[in-house]
Amino acid sequence: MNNTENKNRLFIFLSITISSLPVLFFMEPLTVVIILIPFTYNIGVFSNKLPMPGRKTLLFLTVLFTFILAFSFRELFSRDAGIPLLIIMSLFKILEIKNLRDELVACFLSFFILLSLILFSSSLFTTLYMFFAAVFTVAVMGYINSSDKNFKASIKKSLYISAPSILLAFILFFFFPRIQGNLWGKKDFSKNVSGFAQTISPGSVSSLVKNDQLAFKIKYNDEDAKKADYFRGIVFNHFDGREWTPDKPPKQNTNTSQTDKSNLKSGFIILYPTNSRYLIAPGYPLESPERGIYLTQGFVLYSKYFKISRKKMFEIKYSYKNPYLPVPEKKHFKLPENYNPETLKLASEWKNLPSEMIIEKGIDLLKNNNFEYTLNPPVYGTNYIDEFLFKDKKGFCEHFASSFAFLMRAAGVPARIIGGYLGGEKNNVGDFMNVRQSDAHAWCEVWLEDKGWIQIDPTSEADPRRLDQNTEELFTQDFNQNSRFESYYEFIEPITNIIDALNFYWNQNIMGFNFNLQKKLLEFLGVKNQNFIKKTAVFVASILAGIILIKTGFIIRKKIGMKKDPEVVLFEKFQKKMHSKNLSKNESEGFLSYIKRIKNSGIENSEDIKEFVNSFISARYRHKKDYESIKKMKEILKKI
Amino acid sequence: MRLKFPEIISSKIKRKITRLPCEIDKKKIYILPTRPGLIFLSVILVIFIGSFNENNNMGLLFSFFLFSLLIFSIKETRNSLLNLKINSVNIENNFAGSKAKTEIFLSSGTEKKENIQIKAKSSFTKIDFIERNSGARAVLFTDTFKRGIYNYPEITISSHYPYGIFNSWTYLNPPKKQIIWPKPANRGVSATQLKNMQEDNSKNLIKNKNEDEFKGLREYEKGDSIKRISWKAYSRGMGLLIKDFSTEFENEEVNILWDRINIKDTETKLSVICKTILNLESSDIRYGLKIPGFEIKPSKGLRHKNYCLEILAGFKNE
Repeated sequence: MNNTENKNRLFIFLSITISSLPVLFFMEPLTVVIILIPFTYNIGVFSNKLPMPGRKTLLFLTVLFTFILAFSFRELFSRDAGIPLLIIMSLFKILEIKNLRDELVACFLSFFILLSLILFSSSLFTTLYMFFAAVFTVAVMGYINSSDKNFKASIKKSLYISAPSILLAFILFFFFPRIQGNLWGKKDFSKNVSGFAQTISPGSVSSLVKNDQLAFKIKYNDEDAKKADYFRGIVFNHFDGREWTPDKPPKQNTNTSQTDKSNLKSGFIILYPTNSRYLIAPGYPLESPERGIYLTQGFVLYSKYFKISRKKMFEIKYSYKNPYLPVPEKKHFKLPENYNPETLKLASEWKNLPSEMIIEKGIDLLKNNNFEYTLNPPVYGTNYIDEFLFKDKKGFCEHFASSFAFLMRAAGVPARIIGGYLGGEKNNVGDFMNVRQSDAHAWCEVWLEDKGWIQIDPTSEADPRRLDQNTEELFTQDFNQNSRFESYYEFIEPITNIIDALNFYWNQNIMGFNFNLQKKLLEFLGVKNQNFIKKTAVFVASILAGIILIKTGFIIRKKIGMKKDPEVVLFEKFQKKMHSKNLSKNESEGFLSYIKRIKNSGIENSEDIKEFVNSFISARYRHKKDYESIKKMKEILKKI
Repeated sequence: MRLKFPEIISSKIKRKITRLPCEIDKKKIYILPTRPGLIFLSVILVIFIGSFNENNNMGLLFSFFLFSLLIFSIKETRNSLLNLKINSVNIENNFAGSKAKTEIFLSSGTEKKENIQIKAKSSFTKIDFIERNSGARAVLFTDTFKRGIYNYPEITISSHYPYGIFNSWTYLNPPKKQIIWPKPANRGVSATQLKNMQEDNSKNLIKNKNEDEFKGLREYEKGDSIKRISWKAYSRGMGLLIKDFSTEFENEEVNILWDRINIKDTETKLSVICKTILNLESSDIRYGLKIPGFEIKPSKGLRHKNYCLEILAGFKNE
């Protein structure tokens, strides 16, 4: 192995290291340790501490590590096993390089590893890092192809080619004709993530409260967005005595053409992976944001084809006013038999009252009996609603909501439970809300003949603090010291807010760019009645425009880049001075005869001029750059 | 790196003689992806299709970025040859079966040129880099097989700088012909044999060496045969002196006559004649050549020899 090859390998190794570094942060410690073994091995080989492995050794190592990963993850083609395998194989590939093609292929692998980062994060900083690492890898590609092995020059060249590439990439990105939905099925690479429970039972919501993860971000496009906001997630219609469950998946979109849409508002949501099919929306969503997402009868959004396994961004149209339709069905009255006899008994006393009165009575019951809103409710038995309402009176929102809904149904008022989120913290820089899993909440809706489904939050009726504060603030003593309430947090909060806001805009406008946004963009550019042909035409036109723009850039750069040599600049200055004395050099004149002419003219500092011209000749025509002469020229020019 | 495409394209286009010196301009440069380039392209395609299907904007952006890199590297690869100057091509004539040397003199324009590969038939050479405003020399050794007068094999000048994913190349067809002389036979016809072959009425001037009259020593003049230098005198420190013989000896001349050499196979015969010429050239005998269609009067010297050999190289037996 010769020196050049060694240098090439080292740089390819660096490139792969840089590409895989951020991925490691998302890996489990054990996986990182497994990956570090070939890393160390490579370093050992490069520092000549370990011998170069042969083909058989490499094959054995590859198989060994494949088995290790396969056994520790049970499957190989998942995100968490596949990417480490890719990294390990690339590291072994470096040791196997034989020719230029192998070297280039190793660089391509580095690009692949870099790309795998998108399965973990799509933030602005990830993207910036990706571009940085890509520029580095391109530089390495240039390095292995160059003969003089000057990495600085390779980096320069890489930047020179990457800058216009980034510009062209964005043009392609914005104008490449987008489609709605997918071409075919998605492969789910993501891990299981916690999210809102698919059922409501005692403890199902409170278990989320210590979860600090982001649930979603929302930016309201309208000014008058309420402060405390209920975000609808799931409607629970069925109760079996223990658990509330939602309806079967909807088969079609709910028709909302009859609904009053005069006060329609819009917002932009970045929903974090939940592994559920339900999407989150503020108020009452009235339109499906895109194809493949249904608006259910209960006015929540349901993704028909996929679980939300990756960050999902969408524009939402919603209203704060409850849509009147649809009317309650049998399921909204139904209760399991032989559960909670005391509650049933109480409700039966109210049965003959009008609905409004029943609701009021129910609220009064929760308000006036010293109910305690707590994170640590006691363990309840089979008739947990009875126990909660009449015995322990301690519970979290799911207890309040399910008890109230039960009570209403028992008294003959149609009721259901809504699962979602309440509140969130505002980012003042970016003017959007961050809603975390800890903001999960459950509340009720009851049906009134003249008003439709109206919202009642039994928890806030019993303990109004929940409306103004989020759960973490409410239960500060329950959170440990590692929470985000440490003192330093307040100090760095403005900075994190700015970073958060930058990320939001990045996500909203770039990562969230889709068919609809492209449509808007093209409409803004004056393209009406879009179809595929028109879009393609715009795409081609935008590429041409981009190329012209870049070409202009190249020309300008060339003009700027073609700086005159310093000695020429000095000589031109000198000529200007001489011109006033009618002693400038003719084009056809040689330097020596020019010096002679000046001497003969009898000008006073002809010796200086002679030396100046001689220095110029030396600076201009010597083989090596003659900085001394340039210095001399400058000094003399001042004197003349 | 193997150059496959250039050869395929080369066979499709008409050969055009390159006027030298020439500067490589845009129209003369061909560009195609190399194999790693095709791998790179498929990597991009995989990323693109996957991201497009999943509506993953990050992946899309990245694939567009790599694609743009690919596009711009076409330009960069073209620039690696653009404005390269080919000043001259020096083609050496040689005997069939030996390697013929070709020198190509290049100079860079205002930009540094890197990784230039030059190829003619199976022979290959590489110039690592030419600094801006300077020149370089590339030397190729091409195999020769059969005697004859040939167009020089097309020279391919190529570069896959800077990223190795594209290969740009240009063809160079030097205006000169390459003359491949017949391979010299092991033994030629000796001067005495040739003398015996002469026609009866021709002058018989070859004398026995012993009869040569030694006239004395004289000073060395340019063009004198090395064999006639008196090394004895030189070792005594008397400088270069030439042994002078009688004038008759210098007039010695012989004709190589095609018809009198009794070899049936033309090529073998040419080889033998070739060796004979080489032998005669290194001796002091002036020689002429008579073959069907050509008659060269007896003379001596490099030009004469080359002329004779060229006649042999281009000989056609009707």
